[in-house]
Amino acid sequence: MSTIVANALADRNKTASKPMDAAFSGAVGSYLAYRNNGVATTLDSYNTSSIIDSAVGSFRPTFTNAFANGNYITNGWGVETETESPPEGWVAVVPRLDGAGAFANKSTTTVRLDSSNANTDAVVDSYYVVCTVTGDLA
Amino acid sequence: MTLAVDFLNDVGTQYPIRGTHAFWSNWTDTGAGSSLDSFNQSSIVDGGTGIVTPSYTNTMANRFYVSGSTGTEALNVGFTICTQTGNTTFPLPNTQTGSTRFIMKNNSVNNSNIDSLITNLFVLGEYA
Repeated sequence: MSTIVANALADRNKTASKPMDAAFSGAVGSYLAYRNNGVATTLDSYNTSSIIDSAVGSFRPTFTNAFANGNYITNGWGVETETESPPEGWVAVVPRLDGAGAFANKSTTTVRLDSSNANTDAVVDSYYVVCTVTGDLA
Repeated sequence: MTLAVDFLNDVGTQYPIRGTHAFWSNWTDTGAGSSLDSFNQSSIVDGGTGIVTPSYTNTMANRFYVSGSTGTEALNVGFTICTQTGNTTFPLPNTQTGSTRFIMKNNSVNNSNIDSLITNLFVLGEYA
């Protein structure tokens, strides 16, 4: 078995070299594990320069390497409290849709996310949520 | 150093690199469904309220891949999750190697099927 070591790759459609993760369209562009049980804490993250506690249940990661456009996907889940069990306590992490347009809170460099209780739709601070962001990096 | 290649192969399996998404799509449905962006999607069919079926350019090696999704129903109107159900064409786990049938439901509203403003679909697995 041979091993190739490279600092950058160019995919078949693009001539410019890209960071290793940006060369693969199926790669996760960013991920995060986040907690807000009174104190907002980033437990782990990838390709995020900061995560801002925007409001109750709402937070906003900023990406170190920007995405090529705003049509990337986000997927996330979590639990509202440490002791609650599904389905009462679980939440989904989804892009927040308000403001001037449907996608006003989503850009190439940041996205505002809400953690929403599955039973009530209420936006709630959560004990533990994880989220992935997948799309083409710029 | 920059290395440019057309394809990458691991032993016996054409790409994707394991651990990366084999498929993803940003689907929006406000009456007329459309895909805003995608990867490895050859087509996507709006199957009625809350139902969408993407097909894959590169098919999966088997039906037992991982699929998932979350979404937002509308402006400030709750959220949705996507589940899969079986039928004759798509038996449980409601997947085929070339396509997957997703059904969007709002858990807080009697699990009813709903069209969503944002639906984020993904698949993890090996290509054929």
